[in-house]
Amino acid sequence: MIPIDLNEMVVLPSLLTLLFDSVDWVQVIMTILLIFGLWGMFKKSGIPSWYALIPCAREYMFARCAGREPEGRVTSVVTFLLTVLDLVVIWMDYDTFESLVLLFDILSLSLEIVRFIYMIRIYAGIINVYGRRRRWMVMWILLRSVTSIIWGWNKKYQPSVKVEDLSSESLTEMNGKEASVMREGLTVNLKERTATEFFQKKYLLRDIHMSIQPGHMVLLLGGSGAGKTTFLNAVNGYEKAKAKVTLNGGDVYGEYKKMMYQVGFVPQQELMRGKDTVYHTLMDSAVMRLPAMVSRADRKERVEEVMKIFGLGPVRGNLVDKLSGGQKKRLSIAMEFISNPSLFILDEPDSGLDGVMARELMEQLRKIADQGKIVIVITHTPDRVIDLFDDVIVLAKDTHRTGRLAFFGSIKDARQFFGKEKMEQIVLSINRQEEGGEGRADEFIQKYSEVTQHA
Amino acid sequence: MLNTVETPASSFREHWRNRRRGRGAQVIIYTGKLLRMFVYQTDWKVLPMAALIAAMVSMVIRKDFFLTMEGDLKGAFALTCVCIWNGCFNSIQVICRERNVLKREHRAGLHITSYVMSHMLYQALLCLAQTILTLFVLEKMEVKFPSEGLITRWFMVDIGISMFLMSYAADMLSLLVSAIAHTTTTAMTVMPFVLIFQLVFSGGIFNLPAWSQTVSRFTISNYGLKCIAAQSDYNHTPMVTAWNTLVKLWDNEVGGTISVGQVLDFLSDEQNALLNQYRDTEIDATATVGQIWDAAKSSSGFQELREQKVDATLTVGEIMDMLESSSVLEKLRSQGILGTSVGEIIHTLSETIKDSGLRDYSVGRVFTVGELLDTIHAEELAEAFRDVQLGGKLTVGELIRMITENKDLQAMRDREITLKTTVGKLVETIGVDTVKDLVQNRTAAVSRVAAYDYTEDNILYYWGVFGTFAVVFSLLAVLALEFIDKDKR
Repeated sequence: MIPIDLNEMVVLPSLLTLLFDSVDWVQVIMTILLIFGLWGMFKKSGIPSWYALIPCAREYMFARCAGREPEGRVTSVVTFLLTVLDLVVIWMDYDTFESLVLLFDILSLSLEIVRFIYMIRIYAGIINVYGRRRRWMVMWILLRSVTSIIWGWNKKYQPSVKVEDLSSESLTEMNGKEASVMREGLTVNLKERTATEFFQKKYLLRDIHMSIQPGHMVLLLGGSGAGKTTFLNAVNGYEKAKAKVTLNGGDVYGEYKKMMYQVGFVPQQELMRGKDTVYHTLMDSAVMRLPAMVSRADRKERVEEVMKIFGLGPVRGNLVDKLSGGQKKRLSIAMEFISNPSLFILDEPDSGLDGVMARELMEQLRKIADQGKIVIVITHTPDRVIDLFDDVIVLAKDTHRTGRLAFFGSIKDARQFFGKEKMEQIVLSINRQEEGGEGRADEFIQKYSEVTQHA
Repeated sequence: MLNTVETPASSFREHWRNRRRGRGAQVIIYTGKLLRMFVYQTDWKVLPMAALIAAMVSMVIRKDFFLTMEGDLKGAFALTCVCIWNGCFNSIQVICRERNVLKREHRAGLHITSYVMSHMLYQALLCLAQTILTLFVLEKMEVKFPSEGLITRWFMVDIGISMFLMSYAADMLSLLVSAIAHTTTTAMTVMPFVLIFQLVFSGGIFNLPAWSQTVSRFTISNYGLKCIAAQSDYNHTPMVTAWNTLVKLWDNEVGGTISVGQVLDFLSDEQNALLNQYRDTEIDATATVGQIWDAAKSSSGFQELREQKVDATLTVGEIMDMLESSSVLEKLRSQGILGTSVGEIIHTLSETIKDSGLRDYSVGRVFTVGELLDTIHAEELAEAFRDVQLGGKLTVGELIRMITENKDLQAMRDREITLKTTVGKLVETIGVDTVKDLVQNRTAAVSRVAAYDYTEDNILYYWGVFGTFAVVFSLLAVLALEFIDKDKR
């Protein structure tokens, strides 16, 4: 180590000498080769080639070429940390900071292990994207500079998919026509719902506008990743979007603290404490959700009433863990129903239930809708209960994987719009081809946009 | 847009009618829920586990906790470990295992502050129960607790408060980890690092490099160890390691050569603490020769003394010098013989020997003390002078002065004395209790640490630190959970 005296004007020359002395020239040459190789690979994948020049960014972009973006994020951060640690250790005087230098060395070793594991994942991805044999993994691990030049500049090596630019504008036309706010019922005017991941803005949902009448039971359809749950979370106000959501005239976002009790959201999983009894679970729900003015007697009465509606009376003293799948679903719904919400949202309430039980549950939901409430349901087996629904919302991923509204209307109109008899066929028509669908999402998004513009 | 504007009065009435339970009421609901689940869930297992841990630890510490410095430090470290272990394992999974449930309830109006506060109350009860159990077990396992406290009247209450607060601070740290971790697997992966960090940086047992002293200021274990060590009055208990080491070396032989001068310097050193203790002690040395002889013969060491070897070898040169200069032989030297004197013959012989190089030639042999005593007919001499009175009353100081001022001894300063004995005999010569007392107190005096002083200020300061840790960790847990709605699905 060369000691550096910060009080003297020799800092810069000393630092340069220090860095120069500590440079591993073999590594420098290998890095230059790697940059050259990645330049070609990025070009093939549709990524600006100059990213290869930027440390950390090139790791991330390489992972994107391999379709392993999450791994790329980790690798990029780890590479940055390793660089910082290397510089700190070079600066430190070993004799003075012996323990600290050793600690940093151990930390570097741990990070190197993390990077190695994640790089293996990325290499597996890139081999898959380029459609090459697994044995290339050895080459990537031992000689990635040379391998990257072969893959980057040999015309025989071409990626099967290019990197999508998710931040660019969508090809399909934006409708932008807002639904008029109703005194009764639910109105959603969602402009966009975005998320920022690793300095990159992503559109999860865009341009969704609709009005749902009270007493309607609505089916929410869409392929996986179309943004169904994101949409429901945006509607109930828990994960706010750039939107205006009104329920019976009340602004769900603006008056969230008040409105949250008018929205009941039943999640996909049975999120309840398994070691509590059914009665206490419902009673605690009632205490939390009902206004403080409600008397103890009224609260108890409401709990008894809800238990009766959902058939939970016989198991009132049982632990939640001991209930059957159907009973757990009913309890989960009952917990939300106890506050008598105007909007009832259920994320796959029939998952894990057999046909008969699923039908029974849906019939119960129909009864709730018939009380003048709006019930929105996500289900992956809609056709066996389609007769119970009034409307259908179809969400689809456009070219940029943004959730868009492909249809909203009655079941009958949906069949006509998509030219399909069954709901499952509609889902197939909008799903991407690599997912086994027809890949017509953009077509229907565009069509629905035009229909509503002219309506 | 709909007109939703209302008059202030009606708005207030509506707000009042529709208001939900506030934070305070939610705390009560959730504390009740946690207590209920304590019974149904496996949380209750932490209580017998605490008792078992206390029993195991007490086996190690009960011998010397509160009795010796080493015992105090060992006990303080052990109790700190127990408290941190108990605290950490109480809450490490409580939030992360129900994170999704919490998210659902947060969506339905649960305040995060109420949720964390209910956990704080519940965990406080759990820590309190564990502390009481731990103390009960330690008492049963015969750990010798002092009876009088410093802050309260009872020592058990004092140390109980310290243990409770320490456990609670660790509990809140664990709660924070549980709030940050999204799954129980993550929390349990982080847990060992938290524990090792706490134990390594406690600072009492392991010597830490200077830079890490700052880090140890942020560990509960550092203050926990100090608090318990202070309460065990570490600074006023003896240190036994040095004495125990000495006892282990009891039969080891030690020896060395010192000069008479070194012995005289040692005796005349006025700064010598050991001798100064006895300088004024009076010795009643009034006795007859017969009494002294009888006492010596009847002593257990007499036979041993008889078997001691005395190196009586002399060189030819020493013999010749003695013959030439001894006043006893003066008459003999002046006697005439064969036209000359004995003195002349001796001198000529001495010169011849000097020329021949025989002066350094050793003659004589090694005798035992017994042989020497028999040679000089000591028994008969003692009998002959049996009634002769010897000595009188004098102090040790006077005796030492007599020895150190003796001109004959001063003349022999360069004469070397070879000692060969065992550690035990050496200690017995000085006095076992004296050496033990000296070693234990001297080593204890240099091992004192200001942070371990048993003072009210110290103890209250440590309690304050534990409380601060607990509050800070719980606030950070609230902060971490406030972002729960940002969790990825």
